[in-house]
Amino acid sequence: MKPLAVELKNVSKVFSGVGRGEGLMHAVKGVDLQIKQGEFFTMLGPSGCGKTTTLRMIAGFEFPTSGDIFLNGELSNQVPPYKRAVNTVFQSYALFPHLTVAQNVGFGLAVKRVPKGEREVRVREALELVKLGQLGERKPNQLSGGQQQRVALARALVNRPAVLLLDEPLGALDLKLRETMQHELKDLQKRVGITFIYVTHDQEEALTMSDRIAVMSEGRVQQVGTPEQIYNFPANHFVADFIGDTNFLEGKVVSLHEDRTVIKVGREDVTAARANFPLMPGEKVTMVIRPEKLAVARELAPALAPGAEAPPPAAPVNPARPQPPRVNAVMNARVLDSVFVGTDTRVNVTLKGGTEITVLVRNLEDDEDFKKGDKVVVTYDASDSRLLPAAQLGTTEETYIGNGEPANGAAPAAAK
Amino acid sequence: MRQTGKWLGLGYYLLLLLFLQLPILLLIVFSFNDSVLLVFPLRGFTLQWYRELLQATELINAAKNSLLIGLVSSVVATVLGGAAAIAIARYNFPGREFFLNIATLPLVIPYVVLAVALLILFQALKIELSLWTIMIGHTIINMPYVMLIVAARLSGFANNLEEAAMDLGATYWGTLMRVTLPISMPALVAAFLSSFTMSFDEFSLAFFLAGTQNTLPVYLYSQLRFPSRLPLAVTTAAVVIMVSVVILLFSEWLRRVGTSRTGKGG
Repeated sequence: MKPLAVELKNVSKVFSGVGRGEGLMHAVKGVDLQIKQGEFFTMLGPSGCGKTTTLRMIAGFEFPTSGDIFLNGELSNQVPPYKRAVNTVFQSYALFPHLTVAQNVGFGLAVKRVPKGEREVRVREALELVKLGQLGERKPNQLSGGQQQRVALARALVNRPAVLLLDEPLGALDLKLRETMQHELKDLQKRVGITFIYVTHDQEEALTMSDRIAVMSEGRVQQVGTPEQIYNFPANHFVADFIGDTNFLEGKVVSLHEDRTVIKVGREDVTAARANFPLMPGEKVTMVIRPEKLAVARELAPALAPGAEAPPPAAPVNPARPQPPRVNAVMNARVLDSVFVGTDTRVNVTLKGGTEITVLVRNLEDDEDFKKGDKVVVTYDASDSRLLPAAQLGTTEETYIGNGEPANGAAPAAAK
Repeated sequence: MRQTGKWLGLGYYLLLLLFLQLPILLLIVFSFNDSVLLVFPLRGFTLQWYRELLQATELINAAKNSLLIGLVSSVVATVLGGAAAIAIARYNFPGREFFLNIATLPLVIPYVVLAVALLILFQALKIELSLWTIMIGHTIINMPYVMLIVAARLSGFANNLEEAAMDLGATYWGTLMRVTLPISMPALVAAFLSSFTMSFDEFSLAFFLAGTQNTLPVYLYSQLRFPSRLPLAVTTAAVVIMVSVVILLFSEWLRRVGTSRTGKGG
C-alpha cells in the first residue's frame, strides 16, 4: 500500500511573542491529518485558525513545537524546506522580480543543476501547462495578476513535487477570474495527479474544488470530510455555522424514538433526526437544519395532517425536475419577512417562543407571497436535520454568538 | 492670480538655486582665473592652476590617501551594513529594534564628538594613528547609511521571496546568492557610492584621526594659511566637486533604475 502523502500526528505550534511581548501564541493545537496520494485536500477556516501555519509546517518554513509530520511516510519534522519534495504557491506569488518568467519557472531546476537542455524543455512544458507559452521572456511585473498566479503555479509544478501546497492562491484575484481559476486548478490537479493541499477561508471555493476538507478553527481541526459530509453532516456548532447558512434551534429533549428525536424549542415540539451520541430526555440540545431543506406553506397537505404518521415512500428520481421534498415533520410559525435573493426567496419565520428560522424557497412562477404576520407551516424531512450537543468541546464562546437565531445573521430589527 | 503665484514660485526657486549653487559655481570659475587673488573682475582664462595641481606631490598624495580611505571604508561599510540590513529586513530576532537603534546612532552623533571619542579609544588601546584609523572612523559613519538604503530596498519586496527560493530547493547560501543579493544590488551599489563620496569629503574624523599622512580635505585646510596656495586649493576643490557630482548623479541614476525594476505584482 502506498504511504500517505502527508500525515500529521498531534502537531502543535507555539510562537513566542516576538516584538511586543505578546507572550505565547498557540497557533496550532494538536492537529491530526491524513492526506492521501493524489488527493485535493483543503484546509478551510477563518483567518487565525491555524491553517496557514499548518501549511507552513508541511512546507518546512516552520517546525512543529510538538507532534510529528510525515511526508510520504518519512518523519520530516526538522527537514529544511529545500530538502522536501514539496512546493508552495504563495498567496502573493513571490515571483522573483529580477528574473524573467522562464527563469522564474526554471529556478528550482537550475538550483538542482538540471542540465540546460532538459531544463528548457521542462520550463516550456510547464508554461504551456498553465497556458503561458508565449510569455517566457517577460518580467513578472509586466504580467497581470492572473498571469502571475499561473507563473507561480508553473514554477512549483515544474519540479514535479510529491505534494503541492497552495496558500490562498486565488485570494488576490477578482471574482470572475477566481471562478475561472478554480476550475482550471481542479482540472490541472486531475491531469498532473499531484497531491494538492489548499488553504482558503472561502467555503465556496473549498466545497467546489476539494476531494476532502478539514475545517479548522482556533488551531484545531473541527471536522474532516468530503464536501458533502461537511455540508450535510456538520460535526459541531462551528462547522455548521461556518459552512453555508444554517438554522440553529436550541431545545430540550422530549422523547427519543427509533428514527427521530422530539425536542422542545420554545413552546413548540419539533422533530429532529436521531442523534449520533447518547441523549437523555430533558437534556439540552441544538438542532441544525439548512434553510434549503425547509419548505414553507400556508397549510398542510392532507397526507401530512395530524394522524398521518407514515412518511410517503420516496418518489422516483427525475433530476430534470425539482422533486417535491420528502416531508415527515412540521413546525408552526409566523412570517417575519421575506426577501427576494434572485433564484430564491429567503423567508424568515418565527416559532412559538421566539426562535427565528430561515427558509430558502426556490422561486417558481406560481409562488405565493408571504407577508409579515402570516400563519404558515414549515415542513421538512427530519433526517435532513442534525442534533448537536448544546455545549460542545473544541468550539468556543465566540462560535455561539447568534444562538437561536438564523445563522445568516438576519437581524430581527431588519424585519420591522 | 494663479499666474502671479506661478512666477513668484519660479522666482523663489531660482533664488534658492542661486544661493545654494553660486559659491560652487564661483569656485569653478575662479579655478580658471588668471590671478592669485579671488576677486572680481576676472583677469583672464588660464589652465595654470590645473597644471600646477598635477605637480603638487603633497596634494596628490593627500588625494591618493583620500581615494584609498574612501574605497576601503566604503567596501567594508557596504559589506557590514548590507549584512545588517538583510538581518533587519528579513529576520525577526530578539533585540532587533534595539539593534536598529544602536546601529543608526552614528547618524545623530556629531562627527567631531565621534572623532574625539575614537581618538581617546585608539589611544587607550595604544593604536597608532594612521590611514587605518581614519578608515575605521569612516566605516563607522557610513555603515548606518548603507544599512538604511539597503533595508529600504529589501522592505520593498515581499518577505517570502527567500522562502520561495528555499521552497524551490535553494539552500540558505543559494538563496542569498540567487535572490537576496541580486534584488539588493542596485541599493548596494548606490550605498557604496554615497559612502565613498561621504568619506572623500569628510573632515572632522580625518583631522582628528590622521597620523603622519593627511587626507585631501585636511590638506586643503592646512594650505589656507598660505595665500599664494589659495588658487591651488580652489582648483582642487573644483575637481573634487566635479568628480563628486558625477558619482552622485551615477548613484542616483542607479537607484532609480533599481526602483523602477522593483516590480511589485499587482
